[in-house]
Amino acid sequence: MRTYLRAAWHLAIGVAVALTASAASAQPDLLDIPMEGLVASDVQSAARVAKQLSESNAAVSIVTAEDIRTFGYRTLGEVLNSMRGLYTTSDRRYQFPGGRAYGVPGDFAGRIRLLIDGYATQDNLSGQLYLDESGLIDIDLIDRVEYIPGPGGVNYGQGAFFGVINVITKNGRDFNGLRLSGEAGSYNTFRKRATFGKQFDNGADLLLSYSRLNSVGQDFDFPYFAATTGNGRAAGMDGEHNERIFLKFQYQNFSLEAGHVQRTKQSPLPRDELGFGKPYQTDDTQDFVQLNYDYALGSSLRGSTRAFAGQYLDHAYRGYNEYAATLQGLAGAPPGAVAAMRNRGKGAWTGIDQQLVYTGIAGHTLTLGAEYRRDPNIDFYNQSLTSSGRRSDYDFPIASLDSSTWGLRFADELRLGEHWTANVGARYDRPQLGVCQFIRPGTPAPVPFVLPRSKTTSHCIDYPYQPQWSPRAGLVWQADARTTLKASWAEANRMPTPLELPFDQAYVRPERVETRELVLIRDFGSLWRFTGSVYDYHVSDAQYIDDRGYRHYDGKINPYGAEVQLDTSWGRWSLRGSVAWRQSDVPDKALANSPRWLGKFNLGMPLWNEWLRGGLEAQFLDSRYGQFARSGVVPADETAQNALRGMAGPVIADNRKLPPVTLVNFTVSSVKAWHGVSGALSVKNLLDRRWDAVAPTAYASASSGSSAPDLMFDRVPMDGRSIWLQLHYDLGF
Amino acid sequence: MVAALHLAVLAGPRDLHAEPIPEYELKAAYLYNFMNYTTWPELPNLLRLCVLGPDNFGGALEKLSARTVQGKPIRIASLNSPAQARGCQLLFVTEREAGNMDTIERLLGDAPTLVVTDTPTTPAAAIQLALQNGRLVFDVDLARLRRSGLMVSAKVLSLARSTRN
Repeated sequence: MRTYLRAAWHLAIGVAVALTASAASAQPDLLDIPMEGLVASDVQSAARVAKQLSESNAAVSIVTAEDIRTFGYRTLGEVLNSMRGLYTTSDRRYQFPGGRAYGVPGDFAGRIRLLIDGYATQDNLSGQLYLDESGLIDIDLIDRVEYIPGPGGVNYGQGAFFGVINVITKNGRDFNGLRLSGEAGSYNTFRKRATFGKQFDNGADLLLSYSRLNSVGQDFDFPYFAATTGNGRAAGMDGEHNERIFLKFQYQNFSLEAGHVQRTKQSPLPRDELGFGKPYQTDDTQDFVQLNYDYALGSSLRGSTRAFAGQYLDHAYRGYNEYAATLQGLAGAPPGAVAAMRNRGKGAWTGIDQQLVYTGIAGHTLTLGAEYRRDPNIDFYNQSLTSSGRRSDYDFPIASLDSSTWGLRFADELRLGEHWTANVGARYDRPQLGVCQFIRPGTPAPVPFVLPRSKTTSHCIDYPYQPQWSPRAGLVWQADARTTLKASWAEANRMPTPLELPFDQAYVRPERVETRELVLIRDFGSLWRFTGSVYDYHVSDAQYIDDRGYRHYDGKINPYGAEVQLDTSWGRWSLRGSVAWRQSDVPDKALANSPRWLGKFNLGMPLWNEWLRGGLEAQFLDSRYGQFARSGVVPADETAQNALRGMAGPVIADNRKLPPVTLVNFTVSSVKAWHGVSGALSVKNLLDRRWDAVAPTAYASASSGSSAPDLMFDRVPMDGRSIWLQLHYDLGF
Repeated sequence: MVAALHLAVLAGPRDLHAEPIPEYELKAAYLYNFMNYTTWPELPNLLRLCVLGPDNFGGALEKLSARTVQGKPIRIASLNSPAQARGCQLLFVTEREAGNMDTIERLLGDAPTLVVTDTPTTPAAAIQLALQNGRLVFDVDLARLRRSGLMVSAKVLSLARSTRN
């Protein structure tokens, strides 16, 4: 139908132009064109500077679906890499976020909150974000991503310690039919996706998507392991597979969302130095469902009720069993009885959130919210397997946690006259956490090391957490229509994730952060925007691991810095550039993997009329310290503790630096579909820079000691130049 | 086939239509058409088209002030505050002000104002403009139209990407 309209319209215009050929330079007045003609016209999308939707005093970074297409982003991690002051670090298992005051690789963290349409995605074992192919959301389903730096607990809930990533998904009507997509790329990578989206006549909107990814990956040579084991080649150990399902249904004021992702990723790097070359693969599954209902209770009171449930499964497999020695020593297992290890980590959660917004008092917008969340079973469990893959007779105890949290939040936005707005808010959290240990019947002897050392007679302990307050205050001066100045102060708390808990201490203090930030946003005309920000954070009671491998809970970090960004666009060109300068002071030490300078440059350009668009991207990552290298020899009981904590990455380190790197990416994408076909071709790391990321665990060869830098393992090789082709076929109905 | 038509008719002169229309010029033309095809409970002597917040229209709206809609002249007004929105026949809410939709809705109540926005994920607008595959599309919320006592002609509704009750 549209095609005929369009054809008829072209014909009409053509005739008109032919008749007035001499006046061809004069555009027909759009106001004289009938509506049918307008809707069939090609539009040259305006030079625009996207404006934030998230409620925040901070300088929010925004990436829209159009940016995702123009720059060929394939994962949420790539989106974050393009944002001012952010970077990610991959250890070829997972991708970890880095920003103001955080960024230690392997630090699963839980210091940033990732929300998909309001649903907090982090798992309840390690609090991880899953920014890569292990994440819940397909990039093609994202309408926009906003990053809000700074504590956001009052607006976005517990866990928004250093920042919030707000992902807003597309609706069914954005697809209006069936879209079949295929992607092929370097390292034998293939992805298939089918997405159906439609808004029905009764207003119901449905989005359903399924996708699969398979990647063979690369082979690597590690000089360190070549020197220490005689063979440093990791061949066929970088493969990846995932499967995703996403459902979104909206009808009137209800919305239902559900998602599933299962990803396996082989790791070329061992988790323990002695396990190099043995099979090791991560296996993560996440599921969630969320129901949301928005309603009006009278003219000045609006409510929103949200219920959610989710679960996470960790089924990582390690062909090398770093605990075998421990089991031999502590449980009396004969040598060889335990050959491999399968994680059986499990976490489930449910919760409900109620929010009320009252606008009945002139000059005030009052928000009151309450959240109850329960995490009834968080199980850490490692199954030991025999060489034939059966469960061995020797097992580890299950550590099982049970937690629940009440949160209350209150905020008021006050209009103080025409130019001034103030906002104040606070969040109150009342957490509860209990830890129990279970021994599988038949296990020869109870292994005591996961029990609190002071309470060996008890199998369960309660952590007596105090209720926590997280307040914030901000002042916004709208000097004129184009100039905004924001000042803000906030404090936030963060409970350790179960993975970080000390099982030998009955109490740990939560981490605290106090932040101050000043933001200037200035528009020059409608096409130029300057964003500047300076900040000063004070983190106390930070947890870190010292160079002997012991975990501490009294660290102090003082991150501060400045960021500037310029956004502009003219015609079909768009430009975004930003520079971030950051410094993190730690007494006597330097923060690992914390680059001082970060630069981003994104240029969108027309390539061929209205058909093709180019996206040129450059990212500068300054030099950063690696982690402190540890000798391969650690006492047996310490190894066992590390095993339970899962990670052995020191947070604070003073070791050698990795060199700075500039990465350039280029993408050509279609602006509009041709007979339903659209696509993009990307070259990532166009200059083929060989570069490394800071490794989550670092080793120094025991024979040479850390004084021989060539024999230190502290970095992971990243991808060289790679090519990615995406094709979409849209069937409208 | 479309391309063939083009070639047949346009051998020689520059194909004007191959040049895409700048987004905000097109949006201004949409607003003009929305006003043309909307029935207000009472037609005032002057139709106010209001824009709330800093906008990207450039000079595109100025052309409208030389026009009439349903025999009445159009007055373009730039608003600084939602409080000034009452009395507008059409209110265009820019991205900057889209976050204040709650306030705008409360201030407008059931007033016969056609609220249009081009910001995604904004509730409470009767018409929402969006770019899709190089075209400017729009979604209509019929329930909100009814609440404001407005009628939009079937011709416009038939061109909407979606309508919902």
